[in-house]
Amino acid sequence: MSNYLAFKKDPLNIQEVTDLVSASSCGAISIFMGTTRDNFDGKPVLDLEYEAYETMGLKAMEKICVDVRKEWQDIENIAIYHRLGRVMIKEVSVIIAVSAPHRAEALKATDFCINRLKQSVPIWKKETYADNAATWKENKELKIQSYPPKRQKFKFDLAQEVQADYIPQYLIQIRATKAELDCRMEKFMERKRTEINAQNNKEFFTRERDPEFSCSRVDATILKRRDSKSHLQVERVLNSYQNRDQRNADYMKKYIPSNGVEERLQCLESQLSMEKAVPVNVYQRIKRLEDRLLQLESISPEYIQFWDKTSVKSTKSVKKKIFHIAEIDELISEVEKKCVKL
Amino acid sequence: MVKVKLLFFARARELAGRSEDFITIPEKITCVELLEIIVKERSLQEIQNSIILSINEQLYHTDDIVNLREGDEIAVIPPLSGG
Repeated sequence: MSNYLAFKKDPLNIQEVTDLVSASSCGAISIFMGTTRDNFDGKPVLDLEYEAYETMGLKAMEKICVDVRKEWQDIENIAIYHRLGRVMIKEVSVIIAVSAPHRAEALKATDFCINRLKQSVPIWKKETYADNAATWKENKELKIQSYPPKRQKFKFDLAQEVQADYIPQYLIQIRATKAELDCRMEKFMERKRTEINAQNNKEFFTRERDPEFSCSRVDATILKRRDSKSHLQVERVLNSYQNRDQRNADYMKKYIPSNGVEERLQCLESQLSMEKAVPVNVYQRIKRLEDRLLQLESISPEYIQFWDKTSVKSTKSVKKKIFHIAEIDELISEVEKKCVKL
Repeated sequence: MVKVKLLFFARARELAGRSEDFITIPEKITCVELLEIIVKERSLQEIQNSIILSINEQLYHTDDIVNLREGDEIAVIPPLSGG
C-alpha cells in the first residue's frame, strides 16, 4: 500500500511507473496518460509548458490518495507522476497508475484521480500556438472557485416575465411617494401612541391631576377592576356552544348545516339580505338569488365597477423581473458586507 | 508588521515579473485586504478576480482573518490547469 507521487522535469517513463505500482496480489493495473494535443479548438498548438507549486502540489496529491483509499479499500498502490517544463506534442504530461486486486476499482480510482488532480493540484499549463501567441489554460473541472466568486448567470426555463393582473387606475386608492407614505405611517404611530397614553392616564388616575406637576408613570394608582382579581381588565365571553366535547363531533350540529350546499346558499342569502323563508327546490332558490343580484345592480349601477371586472379586463401584461433565490441571497450578502465594512 | 514571502505562479508570475518576493504587511488582516494589497503592490489587476491565496500551502477564502507570522509563505494561485 504505497503512494508514489512526483513532479518530473524529464520525460515520463511509463514502464518505470508501471513497475512501481505492480504487486503480486493485484490482478489489475489501470493507467491513464495525459498527452499533448496538437490543437485547441482547431488552433494549431506548438507545445505546452507546465509549472507547479510543488510542495503544495505533493500535499494535494497525498490528499487525493487518502480519498481514493477511503472510497475503494482494496486499492494497492497509486502513482501520480506529473511532468513540468516544456512538453512537446504527443509527449506525456501526466501518468496515473493504480493497482488493485480487481479491475473495477482500479478503473474507477484512476478516473477519480485524474478528475481530482485537475481540480485541486496547483499545476498550471501555458499553451503556445503556431502563431506564437500563448495563453495560460484554465481547467473546467475547477473546484476552487474564483476569488471573490464571480456572480453566476442564472438560466431560466421560463421567460423572466410574469403575467400580472391589470389593475385599473381608479381602483388604486393611495397614490403617494415613499417619503410621503413613510411620513404618514410615522404620524399614524405617533397619534396612536398619544391615544394610548391618554387612555392610560384616564384609566389609572382617579383623582384630579395637574398635568404640570404630576407624572403618569409614578402617580398611577392600581384600581380593582370589575370581575377581576387584579388591576387588569378582564373580558368575559359567553360560551353559547356550552360544553365543547371534542369526542363528540355533533356538538356544532345545531349551528352548522349538515349539507355544504345548504350552508353556501344560506351564506349568500344572508349576505344579500333576503328573507328567511325559502323554497324547498334548490333551483328556485338559486333563481331567487340571481333575481336579487339583478335587482341590486339595477338600483345602484354606480357600484358595478367595484365588483364587475369583465368590463375593464385588459390583456396588458406588466413586466416584472424574476430573481433566482441564489441571486437574492447573493445580493443580500453583498449589502450586508457593505454595511459591515462601513 | 511582519515580513512574509510571496510566491507567484503562471500568469501572476508573468505580471509580477518575478516568481518570489518579500512583502511587509500587518499581521492581522482579512484575506480580502491581503489580496487587495498584493494585487496593488505587484500590479496583478488583470487577474484579480480569478486568483486565490494560499498561506503556508493552505487555501484561504474571502472572509477569513489570518494571523500572519514572520516568514510565512503566501502564494498567489491563478485558476488551475494541470493534467
